[in-house]
Amino acid sequence: MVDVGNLLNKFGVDWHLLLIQSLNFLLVTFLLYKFGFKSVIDVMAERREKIESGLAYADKMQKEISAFENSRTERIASVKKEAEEIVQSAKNNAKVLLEQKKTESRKLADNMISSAKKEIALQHDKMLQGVKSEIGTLVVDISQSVLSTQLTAEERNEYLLSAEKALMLENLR
Amino acid sequence: MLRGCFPRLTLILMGLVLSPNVACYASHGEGVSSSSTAVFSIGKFAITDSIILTWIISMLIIFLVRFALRGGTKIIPSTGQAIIESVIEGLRGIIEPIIGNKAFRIVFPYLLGIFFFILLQNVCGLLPGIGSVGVNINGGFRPFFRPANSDLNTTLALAVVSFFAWGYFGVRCAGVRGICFEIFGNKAEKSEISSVIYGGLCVLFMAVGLVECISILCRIVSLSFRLFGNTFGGENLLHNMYGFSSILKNIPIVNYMAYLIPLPFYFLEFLIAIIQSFVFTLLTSVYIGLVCNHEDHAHG
Repeated sequence: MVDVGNLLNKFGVDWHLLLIQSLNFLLVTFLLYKFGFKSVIDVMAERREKIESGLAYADKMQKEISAFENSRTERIASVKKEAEEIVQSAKNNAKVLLEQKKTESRKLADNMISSAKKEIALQHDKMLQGVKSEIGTLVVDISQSVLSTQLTAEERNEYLLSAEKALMLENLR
Repeated sequence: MLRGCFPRLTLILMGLVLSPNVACYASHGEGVSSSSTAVFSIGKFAITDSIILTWIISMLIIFLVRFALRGGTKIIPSTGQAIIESVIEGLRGIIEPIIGNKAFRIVFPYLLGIFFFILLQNVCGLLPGIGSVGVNINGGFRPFFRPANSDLNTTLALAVVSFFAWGYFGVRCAGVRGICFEIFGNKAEKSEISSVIYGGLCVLFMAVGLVECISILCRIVSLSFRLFGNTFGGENLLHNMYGFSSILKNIPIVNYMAYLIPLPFYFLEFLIAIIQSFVFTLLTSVYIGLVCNHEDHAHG
């Protein structure tokens, strides 16, 4: 049998020293935990929690973004369709309006042309009338000068009528 | 940031360990004493060289941790906090699966204490002046400091505390009934075997439980002597290598190599210091895990 007491004595084992070393170790462990490791472990746990919640939040945001993206795409598609319809209807309306305006303006232009023609004809007649009377007067005056006689009223009318006839013939020609 | 810090820290520690002032018991021509020596006494209590160093290093550990965490702990860690966090995270990754989630929160602070205590006691045991600074009394050299883990009192104290911690955490996590079932309980399924075989197995498990009790008590011896043996053996190795280099100093051609001989063994001892602290912590966690992680294993 091994003499345990002798063996322990050989290595200087003493219960006082055992007790001191045990207490010393427990005290160091307690102080290390209380003033060192506890706060580090807490911070590590807090960081892990924050990372986890951050990742969960990021995941949630990703899902929300994807849902928003889908709804945005759908909305854009519907708005695009609506816009196309509006543009199409506007085009149709514009076409109709254009035709309407064209017709109106054509009508207006026709009216203006016809009234202008009438005015021109009127002016032409007036002018012809004036020219006729002028020419008649000239014919009478020239005839008086050539004949060196004062023409009577009947003769004047006769010359005027013949001048008018001559002008009308010329005009017809 | 940490990639740069660890090699720097290692180099600083290596530099301290390998400084030219390094000396050990060999410088005084004596072997390393198997027991610590009393330097002074307070009443009936003798204060030994290992206790003095334990106190100094205990204060140093607390100071180092407080220094690393100066300015308080933050979500975005400082360099010191990052170093401590990386060690804690590394240990957590290894220990958590062994102990199980249930017991981890209450056991981990204790295991952290063990790891840092043993690690720094081991590493600081290699510093210059430890074992070489002392006085000559009656022709014999008495060092002021002795590496704490090369004193059986320290390692035995750690083993005894670990044993009680095993019991405390076991009762807290599994209860007395759980521990008793783990040691003596019949683990066979009653519905799957006949009652005669089941009864026989009960007797067998009781006998195995008694053997298990002896093995549990032997853990105190195995834990304490493993750590003590490695540290004390390392001290002796360095002592012998230094003695060998002292012989070489007298030989003209190879005398310049004398100081280089202990060098590789300091690296070896540095490695052993880290490994032993890890082994002690890991074994303690395995012992606690065997009781506390019982349900997890069963579910697994």
